[in-house]
Amino acid sequence: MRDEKIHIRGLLDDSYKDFTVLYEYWTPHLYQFVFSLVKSRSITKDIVQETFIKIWIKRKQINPDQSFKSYLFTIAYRIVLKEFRRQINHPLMGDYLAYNNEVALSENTTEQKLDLDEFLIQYEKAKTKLTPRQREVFEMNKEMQVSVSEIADKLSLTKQSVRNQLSASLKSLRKELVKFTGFLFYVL
Amino acid sequence: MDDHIIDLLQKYISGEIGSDEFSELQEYINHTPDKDLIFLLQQQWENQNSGAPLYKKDIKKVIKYIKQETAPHKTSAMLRLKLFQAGVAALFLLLIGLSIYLYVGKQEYARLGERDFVMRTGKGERVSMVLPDGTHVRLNAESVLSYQQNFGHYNRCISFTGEGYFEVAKDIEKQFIIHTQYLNVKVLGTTFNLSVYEEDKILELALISGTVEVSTNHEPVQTAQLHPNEKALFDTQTKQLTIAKSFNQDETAWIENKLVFRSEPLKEVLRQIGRKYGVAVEMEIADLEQDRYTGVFDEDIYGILNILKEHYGFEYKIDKDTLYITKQK
Repeated sequence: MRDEKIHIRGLLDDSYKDFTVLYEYWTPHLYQFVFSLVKSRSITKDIVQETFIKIWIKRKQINPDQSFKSYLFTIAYRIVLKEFRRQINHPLMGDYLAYNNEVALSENTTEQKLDLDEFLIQYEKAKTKLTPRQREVFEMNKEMQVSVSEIADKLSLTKQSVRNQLSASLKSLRKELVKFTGFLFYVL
Repeated sequence: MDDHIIDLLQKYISGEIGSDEFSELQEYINHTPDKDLIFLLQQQWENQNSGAPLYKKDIKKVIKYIKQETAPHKTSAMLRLKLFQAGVAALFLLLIGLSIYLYVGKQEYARLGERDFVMRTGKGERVSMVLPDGTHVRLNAESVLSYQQNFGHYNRCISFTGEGYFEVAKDIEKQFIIHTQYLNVKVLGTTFNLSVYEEDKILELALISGTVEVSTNHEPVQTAQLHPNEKALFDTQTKQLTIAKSFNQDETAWIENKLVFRSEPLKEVLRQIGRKYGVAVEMEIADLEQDRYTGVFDEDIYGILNILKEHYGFEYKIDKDTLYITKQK
């Protein structure tokens, strides 16, 4: 960034103008970085906002010898890491990524990808098309990670019948998600 | 940190990770302590070169929100609305009134904290001042020293241009920091002379007692520790910071009202005279400007000019606030 040192010094001297130059330049960069890790627009927005507000409040503590990029990281990393750990363990993150992968492979990439939150909404919508039994089996298996034989035990079904319910659910979900996204959906 | 994990993380970031790879990454993240992950993330951050091409609308919203939350002085329209509401809802009058009172009070207080204190000397002026922490500063002509109302709360920061003789009060916990156009000076408690006139080519800090850290605030950052009887010189053209021996007589001569020149071009000599006595200089003998002069003056302006007149054989005239140097007729 041009004249970065001057703007940092300005920030140290409480110049709001210099702060504006800095956050307008760095917001897209930080946004990209955080989003690529947490895959959620709303979480990303919160983190980026909080980071810059913190920088303004703590403007007297900035070290003018450090690059602003490194300084941004020192302010943001705790919350970024916390959210990254949380998001990567989201039960549907794997499915979301697989879906995204499919989008990237298809020819029509001009369309904006869904973030994890939007994906979950579509996924919930798609689930309403399942029969109650299909839904029960599917949620146990997918979201609570109960194995097929355990589900069979609990619901007093045969394993084969559980498998049938699952595959019927998957078929139905794919159909619903395809309707929405226009993309082939093969992972669930 | 092996390359395989970095590769997986990059695939995750770009959203092109396969299911098995994702499970592997997840496993690794869940079994790795924060400090290693921080390192991994920092690497990704430092190597990232572009901002988000997608989500432009989100980014605009984020920027707007940051502005809203941090811009100094919110509009008073909000306040008026609140007052209006308070009038209508008589029941809440007291409560809202009180909260507005507190809010305004806080705003006032915050504004007070933001206001700068500025001390400025004109041509030919000298001023002695004492900062809130007990530091004594003697300002030479055409200098500006400023600090904020909250000076001394967390640290002692001032902005400075010109020349000053600083006797910094000792406070081990709060560094005394001087920001100037090219240099930053950090000290705990010392005495030194700082000369950083904006138009000067060479900026100078001469240390008298204690220790001082000087650093440049432009790339490449250079830092120097000074000990007594040393001075730091900064060349604004080559951007080089160097240390030299100093006997402090030349640098601090101005305090005793003396002007000292060691092989300085006449142009510079005249400029310093002009600065000290508050006159503009009109030099009409161009070929003399680069001639070097060495000497110590403690005369008044006429005494000095008579000595120079003798030496160079020129005529001078002071008319209003301007000194004219012309060829002898």
